[in-house]
Amino acid sequence: MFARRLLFVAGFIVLILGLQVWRGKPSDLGRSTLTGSGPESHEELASPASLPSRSAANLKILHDNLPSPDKKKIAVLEEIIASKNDNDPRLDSEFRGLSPEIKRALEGRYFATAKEKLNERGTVVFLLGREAKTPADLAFLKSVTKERPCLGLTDCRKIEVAAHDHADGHEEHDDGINERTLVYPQTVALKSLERFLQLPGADAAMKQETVKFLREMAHHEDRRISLVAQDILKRAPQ
Amino acid sequence: MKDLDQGGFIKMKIIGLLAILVSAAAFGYEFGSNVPDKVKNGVIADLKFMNDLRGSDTSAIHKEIFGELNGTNYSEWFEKRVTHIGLHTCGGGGASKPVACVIPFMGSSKIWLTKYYTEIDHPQIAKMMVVFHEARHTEVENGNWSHARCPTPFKDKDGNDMKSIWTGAMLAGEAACDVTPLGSYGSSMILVKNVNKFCSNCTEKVKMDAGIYADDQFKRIIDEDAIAAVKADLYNDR
Repeated sequence: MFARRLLFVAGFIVLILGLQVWRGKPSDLGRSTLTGSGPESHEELASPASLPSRSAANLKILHDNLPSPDKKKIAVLEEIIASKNDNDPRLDSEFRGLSPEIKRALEGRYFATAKEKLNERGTVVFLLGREAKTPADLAFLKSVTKERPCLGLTDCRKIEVAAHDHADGHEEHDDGINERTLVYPQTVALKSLERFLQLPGADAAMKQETVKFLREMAHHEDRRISLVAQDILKRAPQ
Repeated sequence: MKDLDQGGFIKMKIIGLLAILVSAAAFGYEFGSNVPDKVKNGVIADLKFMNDLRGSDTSAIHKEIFGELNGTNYSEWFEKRVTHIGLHTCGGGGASKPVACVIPFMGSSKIWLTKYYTEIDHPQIAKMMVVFHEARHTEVENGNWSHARCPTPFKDKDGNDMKSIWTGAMLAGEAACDVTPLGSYGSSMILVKNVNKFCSNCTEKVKMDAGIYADDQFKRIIDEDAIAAVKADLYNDR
């Protein structure tokens, strides 16, 4: 009798754990990211519909369900990313008029990408941001903006800090690009929100919500982010 | 028959050697012997990206330094200055994360790339901004365009200390500023800001990236007259 009860309890625990794995656990924000991670919290997302998939399996399902023209687009993107050519004209010709399905698949691609692949992640944000029109699109951009910045270029979990040594004469020389690259996805998301504000005919209430969000970001604790948000607000149409 | 085969083999070797010599001569620079093919090909691709750029207009300071916005001008300008591209730590370590450098006692026309260039996923135009920054440092006749010490205190327009945000290192007192738009920070940001404003065959991503990184680097110019000159050259629409 006791053994049967024990078996029942053990089975229940396995079931719960299995469900956790199947649904995808909330991301460990500091984790390095060979497998990527999801947005920081559910609250940051406007609707469950915009919740990106968190597992490679879900990403595969999203991809498999795409119509074949969209699958081709994804293949083109993978080719461009592998080539590391930011000036591939197909970035401008092939990724216009994106369907909601491919947008969700690209969001999944973003969250499944290692955090250290900063230009790669920023490229996906750029493509989605250029096409942002709906509340779900904006929710994605906001969730990217609110992501915790990558701390170290080789490992987003670690701040690469040691004693400040002036002896080599190269201190801080020419490493300004590192700081921007560390928050590149967030910067691209902010620029995309600015683009949305300039979009003729975009919903006034959504624009208002976007301005409200930017005001919040203008007080972000990370000055690389807050200063970009402040600059956008200065240029924003009143 | 055997002789013919040997002759053919020798001919092939000669042709192969010639091909290597011709391809090396195609650039005005050579790569260090320790530069892996993967890195070499990446740098060649990045410089080809620059070589392919075309512009609809060019700012006055850009004309003074590089001529018209045209990739051929960039290649000529670069190859007149740089004879060697190698790998080095550039004094990096601890809080210092140089992306590239010139080390005059190792040859003033040689530039050195670090792992922060070769291993980090920066946007392509940001990497080129660094490479052209270093190329400017090769000019012995101009004292290598040595940097100025950033002022103490060094504040941004909102009165905050200018500092490296992820290390917390203050820029005040560091040799990480310029007092002229013609120095390394100035010339490379002028180049990249021109790409942002006038490139006619760039993707929207490259133009956006160029704006982001140029605007950041502009903050390293500290002299009032130099700032006014850059503003008049490229920011007169603000």
